[in-house]
Amino acid sequence: MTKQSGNILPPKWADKLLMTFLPEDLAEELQGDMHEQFEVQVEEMGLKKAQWLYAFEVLQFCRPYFLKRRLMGKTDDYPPVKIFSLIMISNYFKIARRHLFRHKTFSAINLLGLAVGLGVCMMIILYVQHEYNFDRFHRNVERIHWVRTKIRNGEDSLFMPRMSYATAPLMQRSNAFVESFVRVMKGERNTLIQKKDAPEQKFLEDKFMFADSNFFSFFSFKLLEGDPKYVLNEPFTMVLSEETAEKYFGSTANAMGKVLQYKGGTSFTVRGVAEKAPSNSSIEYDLIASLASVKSMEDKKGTVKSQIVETGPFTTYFLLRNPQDATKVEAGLLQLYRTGNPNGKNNKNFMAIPLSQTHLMSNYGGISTSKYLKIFPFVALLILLLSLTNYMNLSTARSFIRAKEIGIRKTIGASRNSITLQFYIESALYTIISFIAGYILCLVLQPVFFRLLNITIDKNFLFHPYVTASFAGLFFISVFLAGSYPSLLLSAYSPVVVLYGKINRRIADLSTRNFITVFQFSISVVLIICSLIIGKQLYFFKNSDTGIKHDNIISIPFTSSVAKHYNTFKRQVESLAGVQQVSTSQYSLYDGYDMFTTKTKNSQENTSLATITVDENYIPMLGLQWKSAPVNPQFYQTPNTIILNEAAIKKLNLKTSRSVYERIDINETPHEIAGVIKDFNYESLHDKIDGLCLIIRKDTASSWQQGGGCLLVKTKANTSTSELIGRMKTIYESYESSSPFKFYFMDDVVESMYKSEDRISKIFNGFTIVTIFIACLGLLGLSILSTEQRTKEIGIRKVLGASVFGVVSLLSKDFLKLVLIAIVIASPIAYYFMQEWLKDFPYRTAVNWWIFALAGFVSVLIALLTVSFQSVKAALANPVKSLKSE
Amino acid sequence: MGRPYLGEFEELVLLTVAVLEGGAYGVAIASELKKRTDRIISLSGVHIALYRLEEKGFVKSVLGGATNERGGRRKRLFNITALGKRTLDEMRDIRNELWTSIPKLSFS
Repeated sequence: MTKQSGNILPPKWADKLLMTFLPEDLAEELQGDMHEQFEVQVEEMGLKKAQWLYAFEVLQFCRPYFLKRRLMGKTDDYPPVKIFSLIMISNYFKIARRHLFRHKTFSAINLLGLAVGLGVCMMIILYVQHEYNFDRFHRNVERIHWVRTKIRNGEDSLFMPRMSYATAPLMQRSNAFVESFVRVMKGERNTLIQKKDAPEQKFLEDKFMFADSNFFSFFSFKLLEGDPKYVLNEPFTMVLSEETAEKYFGSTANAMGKVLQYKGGTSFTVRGVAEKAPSNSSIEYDLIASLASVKSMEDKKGTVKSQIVETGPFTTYFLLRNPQDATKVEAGLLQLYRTGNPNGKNNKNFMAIPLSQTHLMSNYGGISTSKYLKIFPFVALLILLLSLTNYMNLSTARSFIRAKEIGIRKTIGASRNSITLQFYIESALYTIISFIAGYILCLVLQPVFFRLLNITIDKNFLFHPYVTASFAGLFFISVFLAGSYPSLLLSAYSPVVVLYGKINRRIADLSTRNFITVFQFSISVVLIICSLIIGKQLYFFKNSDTGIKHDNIISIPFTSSVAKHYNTFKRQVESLAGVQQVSTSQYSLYDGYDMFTTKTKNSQENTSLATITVDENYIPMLGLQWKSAPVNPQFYQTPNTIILNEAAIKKLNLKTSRSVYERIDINETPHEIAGVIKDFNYESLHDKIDGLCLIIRKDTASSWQQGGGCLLVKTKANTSTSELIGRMKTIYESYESSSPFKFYFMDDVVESMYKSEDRISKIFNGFTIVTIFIACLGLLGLSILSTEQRTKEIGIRKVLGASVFGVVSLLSKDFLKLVLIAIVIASPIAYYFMQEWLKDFPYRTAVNWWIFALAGFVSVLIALLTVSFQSVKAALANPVKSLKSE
Repeated sequence: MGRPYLGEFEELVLLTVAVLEGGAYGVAIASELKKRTDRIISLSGVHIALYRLEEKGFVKSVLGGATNERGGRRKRLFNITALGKRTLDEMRDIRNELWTSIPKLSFS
């Protein structure tokens, strides 16, 4: 019988759904009617159809009438209770304020955790928004495209970011979809600029450039002085940035019409002053000279010769009529390139990249922006979650304090909804306070954070609409989440249980709280492990044996005009006290090389070798090891001799033992291999050692006349380098006046190659500290509570003879267990992430077990210290005090 | 008009309550209406009409005792009030008057 009646019941889910929107007072009768009708329908048209009809009927019950009645909590027996009563709401605020001030330590811990989390989140939001909004301030950003060339060379491809002078006009003439274009040519770094009327003052400028006359109407940079249509029209005119104008002439108005001298020669008249480019602009400028001047400038005139579409020195931007035409630009360029170079190799592609994406595709100053943009939002989310769960955890843990209040409120007539509202209002209040504190924290700390990231962010970007919107979103999400769990949990208390005094002290769901603690510590441990491994990789980078002895080496690049006096220059430097040895190479160490194509032995395939021209001292001075030393120690006397490294030998299919006297073509000239050196890292450890060819030249002035070279000076240990550098500067300046003296310590250069990892390491350390801080605040709060709750127990234990150590370990045991679980959970996660990170490096440090052990030890130690802060105090307390008070 | 508004469907429900004389509750009213009209009658519609009628004072209700049927759930039984009866009377009178004053009654 029961079985049968069970069979003809309407679908359970529909019933459940029904109960969710029926008013409680009507539920019984309505459901009864529904069931009765269902039974009738089962008989009339069978079970299946009746069930469908039932479900349909349920949906029909979802009407405003019932919903309203349910939400208003309106009953026939009681007058309706308004949830949003002004008097009650002001009461909620009052109670919230009282609780805030009564439990000062606790509130402070709670608010501080949330504030730190929110502050860090805001900084990350600021950074991410800044990066994603790069160049978006231009009016036509959607339609502006930047063009670059992709050159394929076997497996590798090379990107050329600039085009020839003729490219843009040719393109516009033959394609209607190109509305206009701008060409920009950057000046050299350290361009010498002097005031015409005060030439004794020398300025070295890095952000000097030449631009087409429509630069200021094409882009949306603002001009403070001058008309955007005319400022760059004539040759030998120039626009300064506000800062530069002030630097030279004191004020922007003063700068107009003044004359500046470029590299001690050409004069430019200032026709306009522009506002500084926003920090989220990929185009930066201090001085912009008109492109029309280039034709008549001795040192630049070569750049405008090209009459065809090809790569060149001009960064080229097109304004398209329709943003979708980007592919047409690519095709159009390729076609024009082919007409211009009928015999050219078919290995080039042109790419039109929207202006808004140029920043993310480039790799400024060794920061892989896109990598950070992937990691940071994730970290921000974690920290936000951490601080919110911390807040929830602490407020629910305190619930037993509020239990009686809730009981009384409910007995007097509060509905569950009004209690929920109360706790939401309370959380909102606390969140507002934390949010303001977090905002201040963000303002104070952001310069430090952005300096670490090596970027600047304009002050007014803080008020960018997207940033404001994200902050508002962050605010609402945190109010919503912070309030949700406490209000749901606390409003569910039954007044009978609570007021009867039977409330379990641990009523606030111990398992959830433990779960949260484990979660927080897992994140902290993951971050500790990550920081340790990143730090270890960094140490590995800086300290592993690369095959080069670069200590005490100073590198001094010199120009071709110095090279004219090379022999005396070198002799003078060599004879200085403190100089041990001097060598010259075409490029400074780690500063680059030429790529020359050659052919492999036997199979005659095309392959490329990195090539650097060096003198005979290079190999011994840098301590490079021979694999197979040259037979004739005077080998460099013969022209066209080369030294290869092992990787090159392998690449060319040669045998080390038989490679000497082999001839290979470098740059289509036969060269003879004189010897083989062991592989060494001629680039940073981010790159695998590839084939390298050292062209050894006899050390004469003629070798360096083209394009200059670089003097590597090995100093004796214990010499005063600053004095030595001063002397070398004097020698250098006696041969060269237009290009300033520069020098680099090789050790610094090595350091700077790992700047990116250095930054990541510092940032991760920062994040780790923040998460540990928040997790510890949570733990501290919980331990304060648990000791408070167990005051009597501790008193009795002490009276019965428990030792201080016994009590401390009793109080710490529970927390330690949680931390241990966290370590177990965190280790594999961290291991996975770090393996992924390390994958990108060809040379990587080992992930040892002791890293995990150390991270575990550190986290246990921190947790123990946090907890003992409170437990020792409790254990030392006089039991008389705790037992006396009742 | 002094009395509350009475919709067409509400009027039908009110009439059915009167017809069923004390035995009127959701399902009974719905099936009665289904029988007599050719409409699709939804339980929820009937109930809303009933509650509205009660709010307007045309019917009064009482919860019946629990029985073994419908899983032991009680029914709410509706009865027409004096006000409800008077309103129905009034409405019929108005209608009759209007019908009789149509000039040429043709039933073609």
